[in-house]
Amino acid sequence: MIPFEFDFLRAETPEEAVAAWRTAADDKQTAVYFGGGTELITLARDGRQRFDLAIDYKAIPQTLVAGRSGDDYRFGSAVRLTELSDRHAFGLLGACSVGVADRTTRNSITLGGNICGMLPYREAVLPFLLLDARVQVASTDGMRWVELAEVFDMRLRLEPGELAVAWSVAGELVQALGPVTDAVVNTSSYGAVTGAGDGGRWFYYRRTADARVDYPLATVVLAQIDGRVRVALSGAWGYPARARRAETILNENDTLAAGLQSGALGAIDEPQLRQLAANALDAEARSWRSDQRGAGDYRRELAIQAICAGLRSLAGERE
Amino acid sequence: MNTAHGPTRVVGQSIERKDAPDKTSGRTRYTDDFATPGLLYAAIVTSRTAHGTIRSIDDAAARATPGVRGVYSGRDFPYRVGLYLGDKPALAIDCVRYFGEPVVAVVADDERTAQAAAATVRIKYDALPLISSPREGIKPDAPLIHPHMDSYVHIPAILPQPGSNIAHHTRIRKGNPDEAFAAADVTIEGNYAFPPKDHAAMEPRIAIAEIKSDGQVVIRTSTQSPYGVRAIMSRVFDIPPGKLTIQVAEIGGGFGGKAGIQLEPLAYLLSRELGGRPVRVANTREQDMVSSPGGPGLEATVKLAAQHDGTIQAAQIEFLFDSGGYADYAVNVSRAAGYASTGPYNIPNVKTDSYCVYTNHPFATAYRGFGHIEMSYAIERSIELLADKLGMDAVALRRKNAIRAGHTTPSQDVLDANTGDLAQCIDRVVHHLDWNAGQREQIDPHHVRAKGVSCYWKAPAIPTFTDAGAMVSFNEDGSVNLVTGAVEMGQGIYTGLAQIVAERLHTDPDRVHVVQEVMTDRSTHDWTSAASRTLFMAGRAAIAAVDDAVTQIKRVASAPLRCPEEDLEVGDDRVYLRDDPAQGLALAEVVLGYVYPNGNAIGGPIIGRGKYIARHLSHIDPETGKGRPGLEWTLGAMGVEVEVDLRDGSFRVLKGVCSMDVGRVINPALARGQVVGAMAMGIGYTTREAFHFDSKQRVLNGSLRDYKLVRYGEHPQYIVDFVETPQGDGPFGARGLGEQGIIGMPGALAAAFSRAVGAPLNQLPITPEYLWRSLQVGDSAVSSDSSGEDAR
Repeated sequence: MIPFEFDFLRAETPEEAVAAWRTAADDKQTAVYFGGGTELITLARDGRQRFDLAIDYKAIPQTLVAGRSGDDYRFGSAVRLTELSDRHAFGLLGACSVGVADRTTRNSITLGGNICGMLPYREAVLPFLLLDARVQVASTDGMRWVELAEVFDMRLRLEPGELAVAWSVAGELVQALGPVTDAVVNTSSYGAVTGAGDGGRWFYYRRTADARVDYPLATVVLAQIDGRVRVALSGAWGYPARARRAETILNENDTLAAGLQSGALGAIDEPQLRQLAANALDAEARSWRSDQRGAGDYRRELAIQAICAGLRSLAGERE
Repeated sequence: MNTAHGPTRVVGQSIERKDAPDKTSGRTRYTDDFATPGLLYAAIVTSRTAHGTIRSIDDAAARATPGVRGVYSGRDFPYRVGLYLGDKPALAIDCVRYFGEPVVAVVADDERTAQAAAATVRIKYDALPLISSPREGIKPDAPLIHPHMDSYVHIPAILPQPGSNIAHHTRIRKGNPDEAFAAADVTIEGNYAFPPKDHAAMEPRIAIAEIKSDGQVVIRTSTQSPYGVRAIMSRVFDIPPGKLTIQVAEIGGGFGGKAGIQLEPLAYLLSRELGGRPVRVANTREQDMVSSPGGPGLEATVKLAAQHDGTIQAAQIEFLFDSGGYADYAVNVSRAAGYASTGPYNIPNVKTDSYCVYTNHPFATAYRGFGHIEMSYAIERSIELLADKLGMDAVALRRKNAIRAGHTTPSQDVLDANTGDLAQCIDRVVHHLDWNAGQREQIDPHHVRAKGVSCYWKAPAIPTFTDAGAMVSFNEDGSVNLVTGAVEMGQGIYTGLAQIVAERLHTDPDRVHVVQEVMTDRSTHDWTSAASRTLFMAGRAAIAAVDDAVTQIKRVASAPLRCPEEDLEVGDDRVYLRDDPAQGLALAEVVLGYVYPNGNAIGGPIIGRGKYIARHLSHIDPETGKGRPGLEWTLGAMGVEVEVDLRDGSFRVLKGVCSMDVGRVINPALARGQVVGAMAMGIGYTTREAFHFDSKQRVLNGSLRDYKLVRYGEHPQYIVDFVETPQGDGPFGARGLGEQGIIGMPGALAAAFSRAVGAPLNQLPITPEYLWRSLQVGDSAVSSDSSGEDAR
């Protein structure tokens, strides 16, 4: 049970939501945006979260869009992860959604909640980082679209009271990943899930300490767009990030480029590929998360293996 | 006694569980579903430090909260309660000994007010030095967790050592191990360890206590041990047992964690402070995991001596049980591990020292397997080590040394003719696992499949006078009611008992109505629903009650049937002449009294009384362990097959096989359910369920967000194959099977994983990361693992 009083507001417009937040703040009250509630309810129950006002954004029409919108694909913050994985998303976003929690919980978790909550993993943001997405932000000054890369550093860095309403990806980038609905997801053992597009244009890898329903030791996504490899990770460093330095190392490797073109990495043997992946990841110069779930060196190893498997998958090799 | 080991009609059938319709439709009422008018709610503030003296408690804001009826701390309740050793206050007095220990109780008119007020309590501590493992705890200069141990009350069989952190020490001295080691062809030594863990029963513990105006104390609680709670509370709080009623509805899983005494003393003390009003003390999930007791951790050293042909000559064993801040059941767990310390192997020379050691971890109690699961992991790892050293097949080594009737246990007790057939169990596991087709197979460049086998045994660790009572009465239609003191906790006890009664009375199990609740003032005395002894003992008592009723039925019926009682049979809801069954009466005409056509009546309500008390059990000698502590030993073997990804250590358990000699299967579906459930729990026990601690011994994963259980979808294929060598004194030949399916899992899984990665895995949990690290060093020593080498 949640042992404190709070008000609950179901906002119907972005303006109403951000205005309510502002009014609460002006009254020295703590307001939170409320999506699926899986995080706020559990944290409030055991006393790690308190708030005076919960602003439910799931009745705001702009947060409920999902799918093609003009030239873009747009996904509202209130869309549940199961809706994304079952029907509305493109393959890579669906795979990243399926990785989170269990299905019952994903029935509640919203896209916006997964990306903007307190837990550090935010795996649903990975496709958006990879595909240069934009995020629609509501503030008391109105609505605006901003480049995700400009406001995302470990987490979404908006001004207090601003609300992420929707996420948008250019249609040609989604199409560059292959058919919108394609996805092959394999659960090969308790904690191991891999996925790939049928067309071999994207790759998804997730490992947990043991139980599949757990936070990731490493979630790694790769995509191949215009002949160039893109990489983003979560879990391994604790937070999600686009690995742009790693991408540079990979894309500057002519042998790899040739291999990706030719459909097999035959010219690169396994030790060389491992070294390349290791060099690429180490170029990021980030520290590997180490906690009760897994040590940093193990997470690094998983990330290296993910990059190797992903590059082989992008080249068209099948395990 | 004649338990009719011949053909049966009801025993041996998979009849539907009596509790299934309510459980599957969500209608079962557990303790917290019994709303009591005027109920007050307690919220508990727990310690955030693992060892410290309480410097100050600021509860002013809580006391000032409207709706709060009282705020209490340890000094309000100067009692120490314990099962065997009275070491634990209801709320910490002056000192906390583990992270999560209850310190303050806030009682209010509703749960929310209580919790909100509890959140305002501020407690300050002065840190005390920490003990993070039992090995540290037994060091001569270790700080004392219980400096006043000499003042604690304890039962004679428990031997606390004041001035140390040792709550109990069990010594087993059998034969001449020193001589045997000196003469041995081969010796091995292994060190093993795993941390404490939680039972994770679905229902968190709860107790609701009230004191009626006439002084009657009524406690409704989720306990496996209603009569145990009554006895301890009566003694500690000086309440005459007749003035104390413990009521138990069905409980949502126990696994040993609800045996003994739990939240009942605190609920009673709070009610006493508040004029006897009913007070609810209910664990949150997180409190249930950390504040209430879990399963003990263990550090073990095992040395074995053998001949070249694999005959094991001697064992030298040290168990250090991590009891945490209080002793609870862990003292007896360590004792059971001592007298069972060799596992089911015939070892003539044994020296075992099993210690129960205080640490600053959450305290430990009974956990499914009760010392045997912990012990078994260490022994089975050692058997594998010995097989490697001998270059002998690990199964052949087990089979060669398998214990059987005529052999003696570590406590020098001779196994009698009722002993199960372990060799047969091994053979069946070998068959189902296809062991001889190969134990390790590389199925592709990255994946290997490997098998592991273990053997296990268990006898109930019970007082020598462990008892059970039963009572049958009858209804107008001749159907029967059964009252026992057995608690239903998911094991299906009421169904098994109904089958036993139906079999004995030759009636349909639907006509046996089992009273599905225990109340100590109207049920029959029963030691505790634990130790896998309930079906055995309550079953024996139920048979005796039926027999008593049948005698009375015959006596009443002999008059109207005008025949000697000895000529009568009872069956198919009739009492009739054995040699002329057409002559007889419906039970309905007899069980509430027979009425002649003219109106005359004889007899009256038939009430059958039945009882059982354990036979031949004795205390064990404190110097040598000699004695008979185990009633009946259930023997069995297990096998598993796993698949490991050699790149990252991730794995699947593909197959789990269990063969167990259960004497007689009463209900095959229920029996399989118990064993499969235990095996599933064993996978969790081995691969993930363990507390992680930070450097200050605070639990890092004390919630289900972080403490992972095995889920649907993660299970292997389970094969359960029962061997039935009758237990002569068991009900229809049955012996206990409730816990046993878990005991061999850690050993079998560790053997399979060790075989897969080519390195001994001597710690739990066995995680993918642990496998990966073991793979990094290959077949040589394992960096995270100090053992496995011959230390001859």
